[in-house]
Amino acid sequence: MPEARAKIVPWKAPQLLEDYPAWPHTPSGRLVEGHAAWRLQRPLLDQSLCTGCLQCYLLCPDAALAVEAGALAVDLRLCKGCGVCAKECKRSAIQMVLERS
Amino acid sequence: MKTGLQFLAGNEAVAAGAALARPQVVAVYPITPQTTIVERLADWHANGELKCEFLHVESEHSALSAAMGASALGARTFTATSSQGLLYMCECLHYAAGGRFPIVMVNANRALALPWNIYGDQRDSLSQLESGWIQLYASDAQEALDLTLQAFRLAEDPRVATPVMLNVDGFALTHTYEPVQVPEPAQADAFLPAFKPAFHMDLDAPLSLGFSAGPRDNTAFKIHQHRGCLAAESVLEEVDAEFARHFGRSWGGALEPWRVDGAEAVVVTLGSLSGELRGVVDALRAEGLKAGSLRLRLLRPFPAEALRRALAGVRVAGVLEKNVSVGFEGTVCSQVRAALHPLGAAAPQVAGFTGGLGGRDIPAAELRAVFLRLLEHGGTHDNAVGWIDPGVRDA
Repeated sequence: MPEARAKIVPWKAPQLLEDYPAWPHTPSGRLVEGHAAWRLQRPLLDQSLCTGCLQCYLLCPDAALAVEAGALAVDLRLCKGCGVCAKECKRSAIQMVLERS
Repeated sequence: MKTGLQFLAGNEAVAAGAALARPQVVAVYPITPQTTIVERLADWHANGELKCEFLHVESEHSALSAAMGASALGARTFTATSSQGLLYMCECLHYAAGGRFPIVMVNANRALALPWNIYGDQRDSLSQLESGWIQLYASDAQEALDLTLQAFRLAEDPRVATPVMLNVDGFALTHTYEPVQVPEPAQADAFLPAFKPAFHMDLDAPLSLGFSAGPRDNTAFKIHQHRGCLAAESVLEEVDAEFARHFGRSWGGALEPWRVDGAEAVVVTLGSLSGELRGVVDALRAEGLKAGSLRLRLLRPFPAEALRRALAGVRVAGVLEKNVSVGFEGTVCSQVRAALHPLGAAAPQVAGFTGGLGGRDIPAAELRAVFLRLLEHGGTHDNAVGWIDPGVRDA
């Protein structure tokens, strides 16, 4: 699977209380840090089987999947290797492979 | 819904107030003695009078979770619960307060198991004082209706942005019928316009809500939350003054004093018991005894400074609650002691009393006995609980 790279907006901690949002919310798109260090397996896509239905994209709990240049791509800084995408793919286009392989 | 002067139970008054607030989402799970609030709202939703999303959820945890989701979308949101249901929501209570979701919830005060009991006392809400919610306590059906409307103004005020738990005594208030003025919808709309959220989930301007904040950032959010909750005390007074302009009725702010001026002994209490207490004060005053009473309408934020001002010069204060913090004393009593402490030597003596557990009646004669005990013996020098008419005695 091609690799996607999410745009990272670094979090700079404010020094003044008034610079924090009074409510715990922030514009989306910030990635403070990657959190995929414990991944044991990664998704492997067979492009010939993929119909582009994007079921995997919708169900990925970590927003690790993206469509780049018309093709499904994964950001391995976000993927925790849970395998939901492989389980949900109706064409079995995604296989989980061990990291060490 | 009939408007004008009606003969309503407390729960029906609450339901009328909730419907007049035009919530866009109601997510509730029924539980005695709150159930008739849910039933009335469901009736009005079914016949088209209440236009909202009415979510029949499978539990209280889900009710408040759904309310948070709806509130995050910018919807005015109402829910109601009681007792075990409130405890089942406990995780979500903290979540909603930390998320600053201005949800309004009515809690019908009821005993907690075990032993199992469906009747009224205040152990449920008082066990959740640390949840971050504003806690209001109504004394009668009219106040319950009026506070339901006021609660939305309070919760949604951007200076506050904190969910409100409005407490009504189970059965004594929820199921007692009283004459109640039900406002016209246009009148309620003028007082309580549509909710304008400070932020909400939006596809065009996506937000991340419910995120983590680690050791570096966590305290900042808690300071904001603490200050928002504290602001509710003065905002409640503003909201009530605005309410008086629209409806000609006023309830005041955090405290309701009754003949406290010149009083030697004052009993501090909360909820519907205050009505009976006022009658006892009047009778004692007629006999020349210097009695007074003070009702706490607001438990969070705790009106410590107002309490110090109200009780300055009073010799002894008794704190009477339908609650005990097992292993210490009444929770409200502890809070009153702590608030009075800065007065030093000038602070009134304090004695704590617990009664009405599991719905046990508190007769006027027992309230009279509390005053006589305070006048004769003053406060206690320990944290002993004064059990009001427990119905049993030691051997």
